[in-house]
Amino acid sequence: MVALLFCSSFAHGEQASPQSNAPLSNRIVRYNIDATYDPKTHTLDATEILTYKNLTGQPLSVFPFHLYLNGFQPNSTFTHEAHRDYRDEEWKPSYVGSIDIKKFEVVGQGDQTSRLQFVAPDDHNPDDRTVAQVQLPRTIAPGESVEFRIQFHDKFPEVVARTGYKGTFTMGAQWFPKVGVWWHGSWNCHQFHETTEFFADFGVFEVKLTLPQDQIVGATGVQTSSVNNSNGTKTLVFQAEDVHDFAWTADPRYRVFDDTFNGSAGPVHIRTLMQPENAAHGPRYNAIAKRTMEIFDRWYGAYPYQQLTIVDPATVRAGGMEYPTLITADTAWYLPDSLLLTETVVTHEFGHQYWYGMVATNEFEEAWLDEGINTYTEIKTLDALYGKDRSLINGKRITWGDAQEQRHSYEKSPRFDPIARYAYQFVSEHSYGGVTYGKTTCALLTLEGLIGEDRMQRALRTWFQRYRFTHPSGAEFLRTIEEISGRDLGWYFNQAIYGTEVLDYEVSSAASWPANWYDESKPAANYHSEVVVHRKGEFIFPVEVEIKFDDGSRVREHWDGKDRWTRFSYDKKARLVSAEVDPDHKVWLDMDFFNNSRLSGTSSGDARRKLANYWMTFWQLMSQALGWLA
Amino acid sequence: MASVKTAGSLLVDGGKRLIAAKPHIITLYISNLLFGWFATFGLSAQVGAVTGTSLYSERLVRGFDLGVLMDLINKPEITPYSQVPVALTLSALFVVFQLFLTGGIVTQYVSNAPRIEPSRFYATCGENFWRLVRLALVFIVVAGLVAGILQAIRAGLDAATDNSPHYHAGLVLQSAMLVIQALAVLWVRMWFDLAQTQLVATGARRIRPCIGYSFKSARRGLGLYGSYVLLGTATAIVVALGLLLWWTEAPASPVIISFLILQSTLACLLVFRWWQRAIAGAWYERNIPLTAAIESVSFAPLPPESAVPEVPLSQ
Repeated sequence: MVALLFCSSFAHGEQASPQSNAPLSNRIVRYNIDATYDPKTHTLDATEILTYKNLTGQPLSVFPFHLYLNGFQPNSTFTHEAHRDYRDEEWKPSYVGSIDIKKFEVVGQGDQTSRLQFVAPDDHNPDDRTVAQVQLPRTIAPGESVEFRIQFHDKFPEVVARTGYKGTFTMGAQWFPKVGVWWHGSWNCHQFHETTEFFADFGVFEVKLTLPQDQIVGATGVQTSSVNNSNGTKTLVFQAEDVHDFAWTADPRYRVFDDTFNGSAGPVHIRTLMQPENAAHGPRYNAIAKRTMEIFDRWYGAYPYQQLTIVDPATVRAGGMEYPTLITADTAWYLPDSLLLTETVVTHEFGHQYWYGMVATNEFEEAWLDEGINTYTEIKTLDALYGKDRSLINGKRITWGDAQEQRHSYEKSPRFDPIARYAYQFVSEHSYGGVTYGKTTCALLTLEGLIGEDRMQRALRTWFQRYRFTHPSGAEFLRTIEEISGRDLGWYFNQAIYGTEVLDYEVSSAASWPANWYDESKPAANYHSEVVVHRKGEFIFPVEVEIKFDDGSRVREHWDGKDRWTRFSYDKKARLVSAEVDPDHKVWLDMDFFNNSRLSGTSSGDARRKLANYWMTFWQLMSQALGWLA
Repeated sequence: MASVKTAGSLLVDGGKRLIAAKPHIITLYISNLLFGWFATFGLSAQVGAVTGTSLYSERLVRGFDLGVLMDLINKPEITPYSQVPVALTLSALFVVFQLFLTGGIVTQYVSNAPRIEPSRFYATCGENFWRLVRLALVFIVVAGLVAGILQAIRAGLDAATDNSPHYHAGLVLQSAMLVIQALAVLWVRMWFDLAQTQLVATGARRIRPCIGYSFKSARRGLGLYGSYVLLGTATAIVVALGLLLWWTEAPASPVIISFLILQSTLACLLVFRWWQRAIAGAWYERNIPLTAAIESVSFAPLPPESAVPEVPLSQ
């Protein structure tokens, strides 16, 4: 097995030993941060030394920085957008978070604190302080490096989204001034929005974190040292290379579960930090993490880091989030094994190590490249592990597939936004979620049906191998698919990725009648059968149609779907039983699976009776509950 | 210990009275079933129109694919919410019907006779109907107040422990409050069951003295409360078992299996509830002379449980 994995890795030209010191990325940035955290006040004081290497090919004098924690203020763009979508959400004073730059020095150019100014390039909100930029007195030449020395003070919020505290739990995410990305010829440094995630350059992080000795800490990268200080604190040092962000977590209540995954790039230490009440699920986290890592290793390529930290947060608001080599998941002690929510979230967040962590696409502008592709690979992984129709609920009798769940999220708002849209420009958070996760997943599953599962997997492998540790765009992803499939798929991408057309085919009629229908005195020897297939939506897509007859014979037809409808006619001795569009269930973008088929007669009615039975039971129960009051 | 014995004998005594009232309980169950069945007509037609001609619906028959169910619910022509007013109306009709029968059934309970005459049964049903309606309205207000106050306390505790480092303490506190809430509302239910019994047994016209006297009686009915708690617990267990059985066996089985499991559970719920009332009837008969008329009750201290007062309450 080991030999096989080695051969496989070698054959694909991967790093023989990605966990060696050889850089995997261009390491544009180097962050050295010395931080002290006080869990009582939820504040942090730090000094950051950021070394930025100008590989843009042109002189730079302006540098923008993300100050994400300032998003947690009542007038920020983040809060404004969140309130727009969730009016009932209350605002609490404890939700305020901030990051203040106390001193901003550029080595060789002096103190530039006074030159820092807040900008709001996306919505010009004067109260939004999530991006600050500085104009340097002297430009930084191509190839030259510049060193920023930044003193800053964080006040963490009670967790609203992803970062902050809850009880004794702290999630230190998006907590330091982070420089923007020079991308496609200009700075890319968006404000913090309700629906957007992050985008940053690869580099090296060395973070010293001082905090009370009772805190159990997990962080991006690996811990290289720990020293107890005389004042009851300890200083931990973490080192992470070829990553583009650094997150940490601390909680004295964590229970630690260690495990090892032996991947094709060497052993990976899995360190899972569990809330004590969920501690029984520690092995469950590790088991699904290892199974997912094995599949990703085999399908796409090696996980090149030495460690993966899995965090079970104290609040769901910090759960289900990805950071380089560290993920937050979510579970509850009472979740039975058959409800695969724990598995889903771990598989999803681990997948982000590939689609975000290494293939570092722009999450502000092309969120579908990380969330959408990642949800697709999550489904492929869970389907492979549990079965297609039971990858979300794997009950003895009751089942639910992960892909179906994603399709439902898309069905709720399919017509407002195309997949290819800046994350903060969607009509609502609802539409963003349904389209970015759900529709992209359905589009990729439909694409898989079109080009074949094997080609799809090869395309994703190529996408990973070719673009890891870079910032590729959606156009490059689509080109990769076309290259591997050997097909021009522009017609599909224009509708599925760039359009809002809805795909819906129906069998509008399916019937047989005796050929000699006009002469009822003679028994029918032959039947005339007709099937009409209707394209209800604007999305044009070629489909298969299967017609079944009562002598057991089947006919497969192909329709290009270009016209609004088509008719298939047959003269046979047998009568038509049913007609079905997409009999292999490959077209996941189809909005309505029920109208994809039609029986010439009617079904047994068991489905109706079954559901009516449940509905009746519910109302009987309701009646008895009301009766209890009388 | 005495209370435990009392609870045990009350359960047996109540069980006997329940059996005596069996035809009426069966009538109630059948009415519950019928009203529930009527409530399915609209949705059943909607579902049938979609699933009746589609191969996709087979995935709801062979096994139970929740994804397919979600697909179905998402279809614009399936509108469960539009069926709610009709279903609620039918539920309300069941409640009214139950209230109507309550007078007769309680009379059967307190009479301790093998079977009361149908004419007497229906006469007491009619005589007590509006008084029981008024009593039910008062119960809703009182139970709502008790539940509301406890809910407010629970919410306060929830807020106070929201950021507590002692997660387990918060969880335990919340769980304990939930149990306290349930027990308190159950006690109020017992109090009003006694009031119903007294109302029916004495033919009292005014409900307020009944409520007051029953409150005092209920405070002394520890054994009665114990049996209520026992049957309440049994109800919860039956529901849990029914759901478990349904979850593990029913969805993929023929509809009849699912129907039988769910109806057995519902029948048990109804039986346990009317068993509680039968126990209230038994307790009442043991402790309060049936000749007492509520209008002239002087609220003297009550005798100990299971003891007949030395001086009967005068008319």
